[in-house]
Amino acid sequence: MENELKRSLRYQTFTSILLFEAHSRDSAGGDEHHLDVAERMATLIRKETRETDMIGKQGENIVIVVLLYSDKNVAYKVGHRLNAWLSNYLSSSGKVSHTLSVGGACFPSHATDSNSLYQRAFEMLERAKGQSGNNVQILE
Amino acid sequence: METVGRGLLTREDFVDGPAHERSPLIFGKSEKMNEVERIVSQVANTDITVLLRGESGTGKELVAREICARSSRNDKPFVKVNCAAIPAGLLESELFGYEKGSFTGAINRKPGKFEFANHGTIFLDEISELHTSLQAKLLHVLQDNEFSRLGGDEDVSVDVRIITATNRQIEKELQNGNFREDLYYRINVVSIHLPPLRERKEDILELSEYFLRKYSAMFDKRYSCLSKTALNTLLSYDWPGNVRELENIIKKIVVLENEEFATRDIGSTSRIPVGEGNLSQNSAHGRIRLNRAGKLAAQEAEKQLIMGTLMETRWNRKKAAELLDISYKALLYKIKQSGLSRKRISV
Repeated sequence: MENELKRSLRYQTFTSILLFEAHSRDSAGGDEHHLDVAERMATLIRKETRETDMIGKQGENIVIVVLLYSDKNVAYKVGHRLNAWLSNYLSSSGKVSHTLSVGGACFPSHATDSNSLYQRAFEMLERAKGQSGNNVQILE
Repeated sequence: METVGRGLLTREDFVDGPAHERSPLIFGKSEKMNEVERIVSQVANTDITVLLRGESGTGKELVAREICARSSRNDKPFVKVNCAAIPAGLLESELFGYEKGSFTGAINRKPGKFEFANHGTIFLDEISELHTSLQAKLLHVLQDNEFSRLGGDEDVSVDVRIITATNRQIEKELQNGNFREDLYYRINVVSIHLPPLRERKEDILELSEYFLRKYSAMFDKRYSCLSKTALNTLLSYDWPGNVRELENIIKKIVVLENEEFATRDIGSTSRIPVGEGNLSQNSAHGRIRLNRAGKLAAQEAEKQLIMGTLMETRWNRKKAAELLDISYKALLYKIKQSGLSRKRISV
């Protein structure tokens, strides 16, 4: 991501990141492991995004999507689209139903280095998790 | 043979290290540069706007980077913009960005340099070249810490420290109406004058040693010392191009491994020191060597004669060439070389 931000700086373009996290609605959590859900999400996101966008994983259950040439408005639209599609898919296909939270931030509007950008997006993810149901939060 | 240079450094010390961005030899040992360093230390940790003045090649950008490095914003971006290098029509979109559809070809929203410098430092080089319409917008950023992109109505808030630099007499631009007075007072909170190399000749030795080691390492050469003759030549020259010129001469010495050949041209150049063009003013300070003074005086006399003849012939160049007893082509060349124009003649 560091290199992508350098590229953005050189060519003066926006870059946004989205963090996706799924939570089991079942208090017991079922027998479906977080890792499996994250991997399934990553595979689905790969199908629904451009080849130039980058997908990664943070910890066991957070999927990171780096959207190149995308400002906060684009990030918001993509976040909503993927959220609707993924939550529908995860709820219908898995043994346990999930809610999906999405947090996002944009470079350079919200942060001018990779750590701060991730931090801002993570704060938004936490805010989204605090809301009920499937939620998308992008820093204004 | 008297030598300078303590020893060779490895290639990695300079090629991959931060030396290119942050030179250890910005300030040197001279009294004037010590004063500069003292001011830099005092202002670095504040968010105060700094105006760096000095001739081309005196190290304004290095000092700006040093201010940034010593400030609390040192882990945040340092964005450099050369206002003279970007065409006036493009500078606004470069600095402030633009919205989609704001002009033909604006197919996407684009962020400006100010957005990339958010929480960090922006260095506006050659600030005196900034167009007056942009000066008003820059003033708005300085006052309210916000701006709007080209073609946009949304205000973008930024927290940016601004460092500016110029090699021109900004006060003259002020008098000519080319620079806004309110902006001048905003950017000129702390003004740091960087002395030209000819006024701090005690630093030449140390700088030579540093560049010698730097380029010996960079080009894998084992050139570690300069002869006494070469040193004397370096010390007796007035360095119109300042440290940049010294660096290039040392680079030439290292690459060619022939200091006699590399220093042969020193002193024979007829360039006028950057930012200064007054012969009498320079000679009064004893900065111009005799052979250069003669050349400059001859050029000035030639220019005056051509100017007078052109005025006499009402800009009839063919007639002027006849009166001056030179060819028409030669006169055209000399007019171009002297920078004379019809407008200037008529004044």
